[in-house]
Amino acid sequence: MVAASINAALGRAGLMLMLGGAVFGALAVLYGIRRRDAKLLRQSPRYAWLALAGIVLAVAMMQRALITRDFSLAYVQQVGSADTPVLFNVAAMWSALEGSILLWALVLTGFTGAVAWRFRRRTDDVLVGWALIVMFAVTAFFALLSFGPADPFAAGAPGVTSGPGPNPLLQNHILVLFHPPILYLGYVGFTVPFAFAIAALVTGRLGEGWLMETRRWALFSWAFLTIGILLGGWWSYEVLGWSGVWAWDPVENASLLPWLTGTAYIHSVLVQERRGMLRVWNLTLLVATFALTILGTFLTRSGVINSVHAFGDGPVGAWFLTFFAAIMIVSLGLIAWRGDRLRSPGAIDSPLSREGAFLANNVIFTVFAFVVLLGTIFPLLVEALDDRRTVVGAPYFDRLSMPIGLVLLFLMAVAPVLPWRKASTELLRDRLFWPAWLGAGALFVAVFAGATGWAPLVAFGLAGFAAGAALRQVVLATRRQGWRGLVGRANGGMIVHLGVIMIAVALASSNSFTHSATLPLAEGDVVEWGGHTFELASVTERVNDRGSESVLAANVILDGGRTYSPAITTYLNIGQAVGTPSVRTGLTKDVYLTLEAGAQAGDSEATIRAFVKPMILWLWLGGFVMAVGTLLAAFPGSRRRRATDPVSAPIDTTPDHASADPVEVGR
Amino acid sequence: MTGAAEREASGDGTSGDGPVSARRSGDHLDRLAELEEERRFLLRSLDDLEREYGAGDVDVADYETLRDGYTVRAAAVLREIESGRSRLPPPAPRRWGRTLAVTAAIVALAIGIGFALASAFGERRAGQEITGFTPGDDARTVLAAARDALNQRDFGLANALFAEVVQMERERNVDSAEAITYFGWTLALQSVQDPDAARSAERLDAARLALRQAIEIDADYADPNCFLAIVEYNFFDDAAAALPFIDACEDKDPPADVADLVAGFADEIRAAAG
Repeated sequence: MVAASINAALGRAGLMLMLGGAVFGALAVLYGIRRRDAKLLRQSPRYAWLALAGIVLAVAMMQRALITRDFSLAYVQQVGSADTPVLFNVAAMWSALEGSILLWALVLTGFTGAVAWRFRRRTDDVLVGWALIVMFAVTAFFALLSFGPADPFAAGAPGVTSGPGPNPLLQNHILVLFHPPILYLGYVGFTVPFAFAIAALVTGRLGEGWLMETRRWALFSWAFLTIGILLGGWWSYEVLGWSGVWAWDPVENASLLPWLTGTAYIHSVLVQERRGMLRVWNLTLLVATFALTILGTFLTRSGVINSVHAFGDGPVGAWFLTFFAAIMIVSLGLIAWRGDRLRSPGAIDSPLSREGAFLANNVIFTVFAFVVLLGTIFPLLVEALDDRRTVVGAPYFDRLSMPIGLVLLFLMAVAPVLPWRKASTELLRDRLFWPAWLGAGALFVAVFAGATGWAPLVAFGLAGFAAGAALRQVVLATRRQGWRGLVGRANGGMIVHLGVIMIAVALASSNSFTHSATLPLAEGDVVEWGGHTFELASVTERVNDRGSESVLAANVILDGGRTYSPAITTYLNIGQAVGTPSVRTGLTKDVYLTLEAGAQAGDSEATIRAFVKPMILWLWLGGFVMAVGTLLAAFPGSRRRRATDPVSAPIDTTPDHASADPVEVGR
Repeated sequence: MTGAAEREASGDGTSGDGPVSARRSGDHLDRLAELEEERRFLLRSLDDLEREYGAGDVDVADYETLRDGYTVRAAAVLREIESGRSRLPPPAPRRWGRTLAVTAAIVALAIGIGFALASAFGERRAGQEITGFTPGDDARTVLAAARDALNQRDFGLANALFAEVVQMERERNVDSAEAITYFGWTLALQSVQDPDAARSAERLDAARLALRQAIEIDADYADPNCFLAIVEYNFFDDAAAALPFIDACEDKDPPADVADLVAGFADEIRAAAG
């Protein structure tokens, strides 16, 4: 293999270092565990540093190649361009297969290094050792991918001096710089709890110790995945020009699937920590979450999205499918092997209990994940078995996600007020009194504001109910503990719930009450529609300094005030035109404008499409609140359990304790 | 006193005869794993000792002292492991009522999901992805509804919906071969049910026109060729006119449902055309 340039040579050297660090790290730790060689085990972090140094070098060389336009590399020929601004040249690394695998490897090796550093004083603990072996093994898989079918440093065709640049949609908004890396932090982060789960299965240490070690890792991964998904929706809204945030396409579904099982996990793990139950279930959820990240990558990177027959054409499809199969076989085999140890020491005493609600939550999230997974792979199965090219349309996902969402809102209202083990109806009546009134109030406000249709009205009512339950918890906690009532898993979790409720209200509103119209505009005429006025000021065309982009914009005065400029951006070197919407964002509604094809610069007429979309801002605010809530949840609460505390402790009902911890119900 | 014996004496969570409480179960599992690790270490040490003794690295007195020590410790650990294992929670008794309820819930769920899936299921166009619709493609939603109506054999509704898709696409300056094909095909199917002979003939003419137009728009699309072959043969009784279309249909590898449909006609058409 001859390197095409210094970038390729050093990049490959970096990948080699990463592969060597991962493979020798795994072997060294394995040998150290076998021989009980503490000295050897103490070396394990060094292999992680070695792998990390290798991938950092490889990424640096790829970035250098993109920024200096090193067209000797096939990847730069594919996604690089002399016309692409530097900022988007950085993002070009993850705009195609090879670079995105490189990004994945960087994040994964970063997590491996973080685990090695975090547990550097416990290298002789076999649980940590096995977790590192798993992480090294996964790292080695991605290093091998980068060496083999997804080689980012492969030599390109000779004589090429320019490239098309990344997909125009990926150089149209600043969010492309953040959305993929953050999403990957979420995807890849779940490798850590997965590795500890496998380590627990291998070592037989199936108590709650490994859960305690990994709960923050799981929480942060989940938070990154949440933020990554929301940023993807924001990018879709701001860039694609169809006014929506979620189209149920397979790439979106691939990111949603691990989020669903991950969300189920971060709830059900509380039951295991508290009562020692759901051990198999939690392990299964973690395995599913990690496996779904790999399956999602297979779906989005193998070519099967367009046709099952394209699977063989994609260079990495077989690799990912084999890796997915290996994960499933090893994980499920280990769970079956340890089956006798994973039996729960108790049972759920009453469905009307905290653990009963968590179980219901898990069932609903699992059904949701199954619905999305089935919808996503069904066309592939049909094509493989019957040779028919089919599509499962958005209505399938919409119809099924709506009732699921309503049930989840109901559970979000009831679960926080339920005590562990069993609740009486009197207690429920007492604790749900104010939340129920808030739900009724929300319903009244919605009807008063003109909302119609049973589904959105039920959603608004339940959202108010759930918000009441979350606020009740936060108010009780802060009243008794001051600012500390905002931190800790229970209280931070309620802030996360408030963010979810804001998003649910935003989705219910925008999905049910968006209206749109195609408006032919002429200069000097004021068109009224949807309570707004639209006046065409001009149609202009502007070519950027590099001569690579032409932006045809209709300048529209909205409501007699500010001018908005929906546009069509044409990337001149590839001749592709992309609609660029212009949005007036408001607290209660957005006015979203796109330019229809047909207008010319200097025309006195243009046709725009206008959408009035209620509550969209609340989607992004809800995401922000969720992120803040997750941060608060990661801080230790007022009564922190030691990792070695017994896990299935009964509720302490002594008067002293009750007065010291009056917000027990929120845990 | 060995480590295991010390733990036994100190009343560690894994010792004693009673069942392990839920409160201690997590610690118990971890302790059991530690004991198994200790057992592995002791048995391996005994193996190593045998090898070292065989190689002459250890004298007889040391060998016997070490072997006895390891053996006693291993025996204590093994006893403790056995005792711990016997106190793992027993398998939960099967509760038939719950099993039936779960089964019923799964069946109900499967039916619901099946219906939702069937109603949103349709043919995929070139370049289209396997799920969702191209953002902003409202026509695709109507197309799915039209397909659903066709599957339900509601030809009138299907025809109206396919016509709507044709119109929506034309507003975007797109000629949808798929929508035009199925608009024509549902017209032909409607004509069979129409008792009014004049109107039926008009519909058949329009169907023929639409199918020919679809072939012009997309020469590689199999479906309009297949349907035109059936229309020419079955409705106009003209096997010779149907023959080139049945050949084109088969050459272009139609989807399985259409292939099944034309399979019954292909031989008849060829035989009739001579």
